[in-house]
Amino acid sequence: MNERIPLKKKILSENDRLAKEARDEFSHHSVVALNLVSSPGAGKTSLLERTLQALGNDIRIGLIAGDVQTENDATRLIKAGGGEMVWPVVTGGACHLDARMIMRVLKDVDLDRLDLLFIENVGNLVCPSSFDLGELMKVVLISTTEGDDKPLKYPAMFRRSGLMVVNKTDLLGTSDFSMQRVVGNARSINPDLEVIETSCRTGVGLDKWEDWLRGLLASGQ
Amino acid sequence: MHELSIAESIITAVVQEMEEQSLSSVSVIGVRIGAVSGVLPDALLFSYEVAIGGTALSDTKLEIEKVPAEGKCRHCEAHVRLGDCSFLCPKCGSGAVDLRSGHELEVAYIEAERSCEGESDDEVES
Repeated sequence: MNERIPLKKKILSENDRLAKEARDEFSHHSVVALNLVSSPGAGKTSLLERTLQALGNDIRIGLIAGDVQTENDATRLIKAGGGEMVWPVVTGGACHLDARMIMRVLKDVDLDRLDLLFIENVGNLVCPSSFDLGELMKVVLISTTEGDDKPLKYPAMFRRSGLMVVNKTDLLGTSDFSMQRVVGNARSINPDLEVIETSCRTGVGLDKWEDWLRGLLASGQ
Repeated sequence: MHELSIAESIITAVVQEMEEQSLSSVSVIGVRIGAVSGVLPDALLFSYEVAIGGTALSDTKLEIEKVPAEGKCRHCEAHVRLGDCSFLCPKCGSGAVDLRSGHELEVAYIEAERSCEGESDDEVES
C-alpha cells in the first residue's frame, strides 16, 4: 500500500549544494565572481572585451563563457586579451548555466592566479535567474535597443541582480527607449539596484564600470 | 524552457530519496512551486512527462501546488499577496515587498511503498 511521505526537499538542492562548493572555492581564494546575464545581443561579450582591454594589466581576470552553441564568444575574449584565462562552456542546447557546469570548469582553473572571475551566462533573461552559480553577485545588462519595460517583463532577474548596466547609450534617441523609464522600472522591482550607463562602442561610461569593479574588488578581498 | 532541467532535478531528488529511505513503487510526486520562482506549472507538467521516460519514475504522476507570493511592503507596510510574475505591491505599486513566500521550488511529498525488510534486520541488530 502506498502511503504519503512528506519530504520538503528543495528541487534545486543539488544545484545549490554545488553552488555553495563553488562559492566556498571563490571565497577561499579571494576571487570575486560575477554572473553576467542579459538578453542575447545586449553586449555582454563586448563589455567583457572592453574590460579586459582596460583592466587586464592591473587585475587578473578570468572568464567562463557560456553559449548554447559555438565557442565564438570565448574566441573573441581570448583575442581581446583573455588568453588562457578563458574557459568556454557550450551548453549544447540548454538555456542557462548551472552550478554543475561551473564546478566542472573549475577543475581546470587555478583560482590562485585570479582576482576577478566573470561568468558570462547564456543570453536569456528567464532561466538563468533560477540557477545559483556560486557568484558574489548577478550583474544584469540591458541595451537601449531593447524595450525599457524589460525589467517589468522579467522581474526575477532584475530583482536578483545587484547592478544593472545599460549599454549602447550611443544609440539613445534613435528609438523610444527612455533611460529614465528603464531605471524607474528596474528600481520599482529592486529599489537597491545600482545602475551604470555605458557605450561599449564609444567607451563613454566605461570608466564608471571600471571604478565599480575596482571598488568591489577592494571591498571583497 | 528550463522546466526540463527542473523536471530532471525532481527525478534526481526523488530517486535519491527512494534509495535513502528504501522506498519503492512511487505513484505520486507532489511539488510546491512559488509564484515568483520562474517556473511555469504547465511547462513543468509537460517537461515532466518527457523526462520520466525510461526512468524509475516512468509511471508516476506529478501534482503541483502553486504557492502565492506573499510578504510585507516596506513602503506602505501592508501585508500583501502579489500577482503572478510581478513583484509590485498591489496596494501602493512599490517594488519593495519583503517576500515570505513565493520562491518555493520543493518536493513536498511522495506517495510510495516502504520496503522495510532490510531496515528491520538492521534495527534488531542495533
